[in-house]
Amino acid sequence: MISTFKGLNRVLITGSLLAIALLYFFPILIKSSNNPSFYLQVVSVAVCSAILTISLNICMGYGGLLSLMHTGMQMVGGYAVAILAVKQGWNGWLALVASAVIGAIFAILVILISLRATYLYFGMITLAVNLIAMEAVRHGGELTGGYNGLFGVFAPGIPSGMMSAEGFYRVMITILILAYVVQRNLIFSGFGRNTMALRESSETATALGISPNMHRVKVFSVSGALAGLAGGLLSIQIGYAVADIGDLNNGLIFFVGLFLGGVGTLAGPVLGVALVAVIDFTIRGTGQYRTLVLGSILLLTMIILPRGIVGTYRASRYGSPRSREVMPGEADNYHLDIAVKNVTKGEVLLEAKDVVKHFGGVHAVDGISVQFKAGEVHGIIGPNGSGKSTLISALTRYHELTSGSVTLLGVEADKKPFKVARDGVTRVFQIPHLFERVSVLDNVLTGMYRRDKYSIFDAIFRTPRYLKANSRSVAEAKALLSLAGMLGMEELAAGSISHGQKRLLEVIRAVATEPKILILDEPATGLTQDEMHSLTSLIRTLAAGGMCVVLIEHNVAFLMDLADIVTVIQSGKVIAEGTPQAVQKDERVLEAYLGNTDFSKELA
Amino acid sequence: MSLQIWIDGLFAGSVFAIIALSMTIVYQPTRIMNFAQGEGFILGAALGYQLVGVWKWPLIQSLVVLVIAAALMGFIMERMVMLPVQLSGSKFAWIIATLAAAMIFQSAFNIKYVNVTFSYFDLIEKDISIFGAKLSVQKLLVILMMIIVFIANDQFLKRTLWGRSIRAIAHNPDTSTILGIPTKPVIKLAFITGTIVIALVGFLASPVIIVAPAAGLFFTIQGFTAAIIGGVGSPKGAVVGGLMIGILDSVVRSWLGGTWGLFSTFFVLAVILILKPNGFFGKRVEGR
Amino acid sequence: MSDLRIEGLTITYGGAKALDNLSIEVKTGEFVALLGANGAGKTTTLRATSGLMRPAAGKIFFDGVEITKVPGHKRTALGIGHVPEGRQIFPDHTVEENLQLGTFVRRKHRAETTQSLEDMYGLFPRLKERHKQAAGTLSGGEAQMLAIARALMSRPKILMLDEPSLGLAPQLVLELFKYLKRLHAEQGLTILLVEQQARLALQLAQRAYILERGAVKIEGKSKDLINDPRVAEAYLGTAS
Repeated sequence: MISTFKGLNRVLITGSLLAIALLYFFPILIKSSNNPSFYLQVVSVAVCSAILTISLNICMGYGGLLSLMHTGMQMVGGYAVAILAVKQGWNGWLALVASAVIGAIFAILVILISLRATYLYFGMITLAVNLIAMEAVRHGGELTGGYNGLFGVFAPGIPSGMMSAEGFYRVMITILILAYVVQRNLIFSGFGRNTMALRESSETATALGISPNMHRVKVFSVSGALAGLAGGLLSIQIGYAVADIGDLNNGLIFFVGLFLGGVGTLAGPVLGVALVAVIDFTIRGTGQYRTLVLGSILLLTMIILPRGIVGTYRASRYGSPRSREVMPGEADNYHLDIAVKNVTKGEVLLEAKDVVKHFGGVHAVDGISVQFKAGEVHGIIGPNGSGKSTLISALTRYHELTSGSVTLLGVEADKKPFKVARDGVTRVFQIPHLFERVSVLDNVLTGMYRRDKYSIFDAIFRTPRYLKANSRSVAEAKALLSLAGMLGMEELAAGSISHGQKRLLEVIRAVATEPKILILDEPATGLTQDEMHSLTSLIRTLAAGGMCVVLIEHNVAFLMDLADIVTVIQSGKVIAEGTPQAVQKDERVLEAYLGNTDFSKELA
Repeated sequence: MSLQIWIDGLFAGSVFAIIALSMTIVYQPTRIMNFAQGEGFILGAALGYQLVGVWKWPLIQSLVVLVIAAALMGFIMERMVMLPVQLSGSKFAWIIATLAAAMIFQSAFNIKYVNVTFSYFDLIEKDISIFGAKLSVQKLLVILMMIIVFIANDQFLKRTLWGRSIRAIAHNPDTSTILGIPTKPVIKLAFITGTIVIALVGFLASPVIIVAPAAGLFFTIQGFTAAIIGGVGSPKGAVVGGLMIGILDSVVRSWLGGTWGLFSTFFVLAVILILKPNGFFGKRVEGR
Repeated sequence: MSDLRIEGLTITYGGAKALDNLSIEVKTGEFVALLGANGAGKTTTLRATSGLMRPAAGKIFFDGVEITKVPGHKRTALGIGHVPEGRQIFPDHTVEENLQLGTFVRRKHRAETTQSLEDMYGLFPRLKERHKQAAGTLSGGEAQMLAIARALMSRPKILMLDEPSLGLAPQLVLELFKYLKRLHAEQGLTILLVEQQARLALQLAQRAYILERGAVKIEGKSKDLINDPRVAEAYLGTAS
């Protein structure tokens, strides 16, 4: 991630470093106050909240998964430490690690049983699980201490005088910083890009070959590990573990913090929790009014600052990245071998035989056979509602076939759409499906993730393997961008570029997956003449490299000197096939488009 | 198993069913599962305690005040929820806004009633005997109310123009607009009716089940559970789901002991969500 | 009076200009067709007129009054009827309930709405046969009739139809167009018809606008346009 370290940004970074330093020396600063241990406690609890909110942010903000069980995960983590350290006599550090592991396992179990649920229902399942977990703990007998909970949880080594309260406080600050770094490194890696891709559009993520279910499990487990750790730290800090920690009422503070700071921003959760902690501290004497105040702040934030503080800043003139100047000759630095490997020109890549797709009584696709060959530009045209898009969805397995067969490189195509994508068929949807809140470069990189052979751990720890793979991918992404004339726009948010550039970017992102067949659904709609030329030359380059480019179009003019072959579809059937010139003169095609039935007598 | 257990389950189930119905009323035009809904239950319980229990008001006056107060609460709730939802682009806006509204109402109740549980005397202290099992008139009233609310809601949605409009908005807000149906007043109406319904059941049921000022979220969650088992947005589902968890809770409670009742409810919820992800009568929804 | 005038309407959608300074006019009693290829901006024009989309610039007048800022449901009361793309009937409501929803803006005139219902059944006898059936069970043609009848129930001064022929067999299209012709000729209804099948629409409408990229490319009388090669070009592009 290249940032423009300028003016305001520099001030912000200096400010953050100062804040970290302040936090580290906080115990010394409050030594002379009348109640240092109380102040330390307040800040420590806030630190735990910040870690938990980061976890919530990964899950909800970046992953788009509605979790109402984060307080429950925290409780589970707390009990893990309490049981292992107090009852089993484990080493405290080991117990803390275990709390993260157990948090992750808990999260995995929950998401595995709820993969089929849509997002609203997923939220409800997490709510139910939270309640079950609390009930279980309350009735766990000896093991969990029932309603009273478990007491006497101490910092590793405190009883024997090995670690002071201040010492443990510093450990917690360090863990918070690490949690932030983990979040940052994950988000700025293939893992994070896939997560955001899934949040923005599960369909598009699938088209890029991402397995939605597998990735959701990963996201939720990472979030669970952090939440479990936060719970473990909290129980050590307050000295006990009790079921009430899991109460959703206590979760309000995390939601307030997250929304105040900014959902789906890196610094948002930390900043938000810090602010909430300050507010909470200011109104500490008011007891029952606390929830009232917090709730009101939350509602007001949503009304006044819908994106939160960091989100609003990012969207503003000051906080949003700008395009950079491209050095003369820079484009020459990026070379790209666009040729498709292991195919020969003219080879049949995909063959559909008698494909039928009925929706109830509607015969959307009614027996279509078509061949896509390497190195050709294949146009598919037809009037509105003729079944073009349904055909593509059937070929790429987004729809189950009513009958017929699809062969991909000589074998029956896999039934899962993301597998078809992995086997080399990438589609670009008619409606723009860019990941709008993500940068232009990251959009392209999302398309490349299948080439990045590194694990979550490589990404978190920025291992040499990650760094090598990443720099190679970035260079390739820039090469692709330069092919579309978009060099210099890498850091812009994809949502902020022009409509035509978005369409081009989407094509680029699809090319980044190294497809053998690239399916573009009405790519020319709404493009300016210049952008149309860029797109045309890009498609020519791709086809020359052996790729099969399938264009679904209304605009036959656009296909005229681009397509090698055009298939015309009407009412779910092929009515003509041939060169664009032949097709354009075909009377059946004109009829299909303009309607030739002569009703003039009947209507007279 | 004794009949008493089933009758108790039927009563508890009716309470949950009415709560779920009131949530369905709000859900239909808004696609929002309202976390603050249970606070309406507390309002009913609190007013019953205050007006009937403490101030000894006659029943009719108390009910009139209750309906007015509930309508007001529904009106305020609609603003608290819909304003952030309309202004914030976030997909999670509804849940955060309704949660915040729930917390605000809850703390308001907590501030007013410290260390109080809302259990005033039964409105009608009389028992009916059915084959040896006891059913208090109070409980019978709740069961009857469930049936009345279900039928009234069903008839309203099916037979009146406004009711049909609500179903139309639930299906397609844009097409409703071009037919001249105003969506905003319909949403307000839904919040107000939903709150009145749940406040009434809170009023009727609180003498039997002891209600704490902070218990709103508990009732919300029970209502959610019922609605989800039955299928979100389906009145029929709300009733089936509500009765199911009420009876299940009662049966399991008597069989294995108190704590297992709640367990079994959520366990059934989890199983149903896995086997039938859209509940018994629900359609596939994405919510907001 | 039911003049509809759109002046310099611009609508952006996800950064793209769906409409680009579009100006059209439909005079009282006219039958006007709005033609053009997919993505030309026809549906957007109707949606903006109904108040479902907010314009970035431009004004809409109806009956000489500016309605650009009037909320959508109030425009229906003013007399703008809209048969949306894809019919959008309410499948779980019965046929009769669908029709009654169309009377929402006139709900206070009970006798009148009952009369309208009878009128619709007279106009579309097949809807009467099926009035108790759930609308979701209707065939494509019947559903289209229902969508039109539902819009007529509000007694609009102008009726805007969005691709009513989509997905219908030629015979049904003819039947549909006959109805439209009758509505226009006998009841003097002002009609704005969006159609993909240009030649068909031109047999019916008096005037037409052909849109391209959100702006008017050609406009003129139907009889002049019907053999104009530029119309085919607007759909299929220029032969090179």
